[in-house]
This record gives sequence, structure tokens and C-alpha cells, in this order.
Amino acid sequence: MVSYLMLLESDNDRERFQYIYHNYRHRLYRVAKSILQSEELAQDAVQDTFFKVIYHFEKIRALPCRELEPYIVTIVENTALSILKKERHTEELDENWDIADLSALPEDEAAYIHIVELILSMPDTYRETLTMKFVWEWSESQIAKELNLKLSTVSVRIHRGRVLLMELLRKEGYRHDGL
Amino acid sequence: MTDCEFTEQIRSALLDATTERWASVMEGPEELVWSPKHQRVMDKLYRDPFGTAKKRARPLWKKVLSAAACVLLVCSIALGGLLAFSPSAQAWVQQIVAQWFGEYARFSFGGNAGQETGAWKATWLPEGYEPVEEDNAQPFTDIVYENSDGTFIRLIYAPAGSSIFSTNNEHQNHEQVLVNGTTAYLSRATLQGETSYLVWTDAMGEVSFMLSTTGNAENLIPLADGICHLGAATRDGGKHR
Repeated sequence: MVSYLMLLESDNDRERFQYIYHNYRHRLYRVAKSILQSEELAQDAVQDTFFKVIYHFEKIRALPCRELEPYIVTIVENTALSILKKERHTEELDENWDIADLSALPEDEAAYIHIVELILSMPDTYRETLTMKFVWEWSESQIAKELNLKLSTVSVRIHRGRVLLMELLRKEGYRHDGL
Repeated sequence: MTDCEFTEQIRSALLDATTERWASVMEGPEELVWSPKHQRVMDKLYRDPFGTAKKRARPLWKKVLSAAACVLLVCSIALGGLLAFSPSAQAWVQQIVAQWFGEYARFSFGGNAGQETGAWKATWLPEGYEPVEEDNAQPFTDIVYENSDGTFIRLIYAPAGSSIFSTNNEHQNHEQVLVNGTTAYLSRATLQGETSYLVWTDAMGEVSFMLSTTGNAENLIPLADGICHLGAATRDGGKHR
């Protein structure tokens, strides 16, 4: 981590970070406050998020502009959820998943919209695991360490999420070569 | 659809779902106003994002290894000259133990260990600075002075026998100076945005002081010289009894 950070340090990177700080700090705070319902904890979450922005900087630098905000929001959301778990002295949040009734959606809607709907219906535990896997591109062991979970639990969540999303796409007529 | 395309679909959908879930919250009116504690960290992170993050990310084992490999210099500032020429001074010995590690320095204090500090005040401040925060949570007193640019000077004092001060040690030059005739340690920042420190005790070795600033290190010595024990306005930090 240390050598990685040293490689990144340049005036451009510093300016890019300062741009992110100026443009997103209030928006990130609102997300954190909404989750934590506490000014102090929300500030902790936003501060941690800006440190994580630097740790993720190699990826953030390569993001297309439209993905920058949601990417950073995934960080603050997961950071706030992690703080919330500590405050509640519990490892797990709600695992119940009432999978959205996707049959109600118009048949001509793009499958992509259905995927978004499905993700929106997921409990936080699944969504944060999938975010770490597919957005942050972390290994399953990294995710297990971060979430203080067994590797098998992480694998099950990722597998279940993938299978449901693949199933959805198959219903829409897509054929996934990896199945 | 290949596995790669499928993964990209999930990734993109996760990001879009994030936007959809939080869009209305993010447009809210509430603004972030940092607490002083958070503000200090964020100021540092803003000025030097990668250096600050690097320090925070340093694993504990590395700090321990660094400590184990350190060159330990025990500097007994016994005020040799004073002891030699002043019999009364021989009644006590002031001692600062300075430990120099790879990335930080630690100062602990021997000699007469007082239990209380009383209140101390800076009688001189650099132009433009004013006190913005004071925390009297015993045993430490922590006062922050700030100018309009947001540059701060921080004064911490505590009973010498029960205090240890730590300072950054990576981008500083070190020298011994005098504060009201008492030997002090000045760590002068060599990079803009890094912190300079001044550590010393009062003449009796009862109260330990540390000043730190990201501004001009030259301000620290006159500021320290002007620190007085309240109720003894004519006495300075070196003459508190």
C-alpha cells in the first residue's frame, strides 16, 4: 500500500483529489447522515471515505466522468454501513431478500433495467458484497477480511447474486456463455 | 454474452442502482460542517493527500519494527551549566527523554513530576492568529490558534511526569534551542504543509509543553518565550513556580 501511494503522488493527482473533495463532500455527507442518523458518525464516515478515495485512486483516476460520483458513493455507503454495524455491535444487517417481482415489468424493457431493479431489491449485505466484487474488483478473501465474514459466506453471496442476475438475463433471451 | 460482458453489466448496474437509490438524498439542503477534530485531519489530507494517507495506512507491525530498529538517544537535559553554577538548581534535575524513531519522535519527561499544571497563556501571538478552540480535559490542555488562511498553531501542555508527546519525524530537521533559558527541541518542517514542533518544559520541569504548526516555524520560539502562568503575568514559562 505504501509503495503504491508513493507512485501516485503527483500534482495532477493532488488536484484531482481536491476537485473530488470540493465537489462531493456535501453529497457524501448527506448519504452518510441518512444511514447513520448522527452528525459525528457521518463525519467519521466521510473522512474515512476520503482516505479510501486515495487508496482507490488508481481506479478512480481511470473512471469515466459519469461513473465517478456513484463509485465514490459506493465507498461512503459501505463505510457508513460498516460503522453502523459496529455501533449496533452486530456483524450482520438484515439478510432477508424479498426479490422484486420482475414479471410486473413491461416485457419490452431492456434486461439492463431489470438488473438495476433486482439490485435495488437486494438487502445491503448482498449489495455491498457485489459492489466490492464487481465495482471495486476486490478478491473474495479481501472482501471477507473487510466485512469480517467467512470466505464461504462471501462466496455464497456472490454466487447467489450472480445466479439470480444470470437467470434474469436468460429470461430476457440473453444467453450467457459462462453458464 | 461473455462472462466479461456479464461482469461489466453487473458493475454498471450496481453503479446506476447506487445513483438511483441516493439521488434524492444527495440533493438535500444539509451541508457538511466539519467538527474541529475532523477539520484538522481534513486540512492535512487536503494539503498532502497521499502523504497523509500513507502515514495512516502504515501497518502497526511496521511501526513496531521501526521502533525496534531505532537509534535511541536518551538526552538528559540536566541543565549542566546551571547545575554547575547554581547550588539551588541542584535540588532538582530536569530531564527530557527524546526517542528518535524512523518516522516519529517521542518525548517523555522526568525530573520533578507535577500533578497539576495550572492555567498557562500565550502573551504573544504571530500577527493574524487568534484562539479558536480550547480543550481543558485534564491532564492535557489543548489550545488551537488559527489565522484567516486556516493555518493553525496548537499548544498542548500537561503535567510533565504524566505526559508523552509524539511528533512526526520524516520531513523535519531537528535542533536544540532555548526557551526562556531552558533547553527545548525544535523540529522544523522541511516541506511545505508539514508540521513543525517545539517541545520543552518549564524551568522546574513540572509542566511539559508542545507547540505545533504548519505555518512558519520561526514563530514558535517567541510564542513559547511568551507563555506565562496565569496569575503571574510577569513570569514567563521558564519561571513558573
